[in-house]
This record gives sequence, C-alpha cells and structure tokens, in this order.
Amino acid sequence: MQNHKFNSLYLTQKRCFLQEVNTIEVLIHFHQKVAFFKSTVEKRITSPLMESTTIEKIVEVDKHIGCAVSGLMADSRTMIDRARVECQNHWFVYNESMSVESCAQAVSNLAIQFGDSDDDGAAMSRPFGVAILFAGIDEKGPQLYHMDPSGTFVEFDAKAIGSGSEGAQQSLQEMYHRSMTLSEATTAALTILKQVMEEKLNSSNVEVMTMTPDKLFHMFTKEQVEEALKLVAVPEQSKAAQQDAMFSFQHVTALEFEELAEPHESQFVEETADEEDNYEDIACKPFSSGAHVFLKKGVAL
Amino acid sequence: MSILSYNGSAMVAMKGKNCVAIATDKRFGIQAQTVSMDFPKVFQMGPHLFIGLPGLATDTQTVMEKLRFRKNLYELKENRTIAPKVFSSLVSNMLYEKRFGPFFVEPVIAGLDSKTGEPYVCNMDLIGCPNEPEDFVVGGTASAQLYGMCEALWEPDLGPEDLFETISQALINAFDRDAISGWGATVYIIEKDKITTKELKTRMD
Repeated sequence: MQNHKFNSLYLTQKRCFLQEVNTIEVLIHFHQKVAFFKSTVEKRITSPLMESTTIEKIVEVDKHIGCAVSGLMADSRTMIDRARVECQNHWFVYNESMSVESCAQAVSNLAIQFGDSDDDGAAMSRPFGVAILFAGIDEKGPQLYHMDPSGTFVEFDAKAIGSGSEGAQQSLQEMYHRSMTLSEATTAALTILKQVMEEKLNSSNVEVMTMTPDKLFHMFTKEQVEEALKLVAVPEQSKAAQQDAMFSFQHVTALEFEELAEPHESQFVEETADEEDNYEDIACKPFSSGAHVFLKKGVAL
Repeated sequence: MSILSYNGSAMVAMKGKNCVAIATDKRFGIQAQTVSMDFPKVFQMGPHLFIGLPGLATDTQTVMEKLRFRKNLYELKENRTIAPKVFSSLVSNMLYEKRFGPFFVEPVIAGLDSKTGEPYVCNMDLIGCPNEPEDFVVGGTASAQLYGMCEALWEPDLGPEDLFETISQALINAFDRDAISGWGATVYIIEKDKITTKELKTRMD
C-alpha cells in the first residue's frame, strides 16, 4: 500500500517536471574508441533581451569529466555541485582522478534520497527534476553515462536528452558508428540538433564541448561554434516555409510526434501563421503543445 | 620515555628488480620486558601489497583494522583492487585526519603495481607525510641503525634471492644493536607471481 502511494506520487511529480521543462534542447554525446566526445546543446532563447551566455547547460565537473544537463536548472546546480565536491574529495584522499562511473554513482546516491521520511528523517519531498549526461575519460577510456531523475544511470555510446530527444535518438542510431572522427561527430551532432530545434542554429544558442585525451574538457569558443556550424548541411527549403514550420507544433498529435524531425513538411503549415497579428500568440503556443505531446507519449509508454 | 619507543620495533622495505621485500622483527615488549616473540606487525592488504606498522602496539592493531575497512570500501565502490600509490595516499589521509591527536605509528608500505608490476616502497611519519624513494625505507626504534645498514648493503636491481639476503642482513645486524627490537624476524619477498615468506633465525635477546 505504502509502495503504491509512493509510486504514484513519483509519477505525478515526474509529470510536473516534464511540463516545466522550459527548454527545447537536444544534448548529444558521442562515445568513440578514439577517445573523444562531442556534446551539443540548444539553449532556448525566449527573448532577444536575454543574455544567452548566462545559460550554462554544459558544465565542467573535473578536468576529465564534463556534464550536460536537461530539466530544472535550479535542481541541476545542486547535483553538479555534489559531483564536483565528490571528485575533489576523491582527489584529496586518494591522489587519483575519480572514475566517471564513481562520479555518476555519487550523484545517483543524492538523486535517490526522496520520498517519505527515512529512519533518520532526512529526505527530500520530491526527486530532482534533472537528467544528466556524464562524459569523461578515465583508466577504462572514454565513457558516457545517462542519469535520469530516479538516479538510474546507464552507459551509452550516443545519447540525446531533452524535448525532441526521441527523434534525435533515432537519428543518432542511424548516423552513429564507432569509427567516426571528431569533425564527423561535430557535424552529425549539429545536424541532428538542427533537425529537432525550433530556432535557427547560431553561435549564441548552441553550446559545444569536446572531451579528448590530450585537451580533456574543452568548451568551444564562439568562433569555433561558428566554424562548426558552417559545415552543417543547409536543408533545401525556403526561408518562409522554415518560419511556418516553427508553428507547426500546434497541430501535432502523439502519432505525428515522430515526424517532428522534419518540421519543414508543408502539410503541417498552420493557416493563421500568415497573419502578422497572431504572430505573438502562436509563438507562445508551440512550447506548451510540444510539452503536452511529449507527455502523452511518455505516459503511453 | 617516548611513546614511539614504548614497545620497540624494527622494519625495512627494499626495492629490487621487479620485486620488493619487506621485513620486520617479531618482538612485543612493554619497555624493558619482552612479552611475546611472535607479534605480527606487517600485514597483507592486497595480492601484492603489504604494510608494516612500527610504533605503539595498540595503534598498530587499530590502524591495521581501520585501513582494512577503508581499503575494502574503496575496492567495493571502485570495483577494482587498490594500487599501492593510492593506498599510500589513503594511509596518509587517514593519519592526517588525526593531526592533533595522532596514531603513534610510522607506516612502511611495500608493493607491486598490479598493472605495470613496478616496485613501490613508501614510509611516512605519524601524521602522514609520505616519502617515496627509489631504494629502501625503514621504520621503528632501530631506524638509525637500519639506515646505516641499508645504505651500505643496498644496490639497485637485485633479484629476489639477492634481495632476500640483503634485506635479512640489514635487518638482523641493525636490530642486534637495539635493545628493544629483535627476538626473531619475518621477511616477505613479493614478486609478480608469488609471495615468499621466510622466518629468520636470530639472536633471541
């Protein structure tokens, strides 16, 4: 009985988080035997007045471990802080770099401490509404771990998280192969990101990070991002159609969700998009519908 | 009376060619009186890792248990055996935690790295300052005598048999010049594929 209550409480809270996911983003990591990572993140810029550099989606946990986060940003700071402290503590006691798995384990231990009060009474009321991708290099080589709000972490070769991640994950499965080079991975990741993103990719709404054995954690500068974006293939569609495609979210149902990967399909064009007056209203709507669709699919699973 | 010379001990560890050796006396005494002649002061912490704990006997036993605890937890969490260098850092950290009320032991560590097979020796003071030289380390009340003997007898790249001879002579002649250590000796020779334990016949006084 107790368990049942607990489970339903967890599900309700999880649903709330998905609704609150205020960013449409795709985080992509590649894990390759040549030992490097690429991580690309979309930052949803809701206003031209917003200072985009303050939105930090990819963070450094240690010189050899980096994280990309998706979900409630406030919650993510607590978890990242725990990861950083654990890494430094490990270094202090053992004089060696913490392994990526141990770091993920440490954060997982924090994530799981929610629910009804334990024997010692100290428990959080709700789980952390964050999914994290840990990318790092240790003795075992490069590793990528995905962690969800329950604290479960699994190793992946390539992963996409955030809204639009189902489509991105599909594309990843098609595009990814172990013998990719760094530049191939960069281009592939940005291409997939472009496919699921609403806005046009530019250097101020994308973050890119690489993790290599020589340079370890390295965040791309604005110039490097622009360089990488140049190599991304330009899709063959008119600019007008692209704009219309952004508002197509409104009419997407759960079934059509898979096709979000190619939003430029003309059948999704909303008639009212042509009217200048409704521009503002429509701009606000896609997010809520998008999230709703995401939920539907999630619950159906 | 110094606390570190309440019980008395003599310990030495040496590097050889792809091997290390660690040797200890076996006396347990309370100041002038000898109580036991088979008191263990060197403990195995891993397949190729040994630690000797000369100093106050009660701390020898407690520190050994505490280290075993910490090492086991590390190995369970990390899912791999602990490397000698990392173990050294662990010991150092544990001792420094008690900076203003320390354990009265001055550890001597000897091991082979599990991956590379490289020899490793280390000793530290009672608050965890490590010393990782290329040749040998000593500890206990007979440390001054041991330094002299090792400096004279040690040479680089000794094979297991030669290393055994060298370390035995260094230990015995050193603790024979110290009243509160001796009464038997044990030598451990650690090689990549085997560990040899030898009990030495010494002056029982």
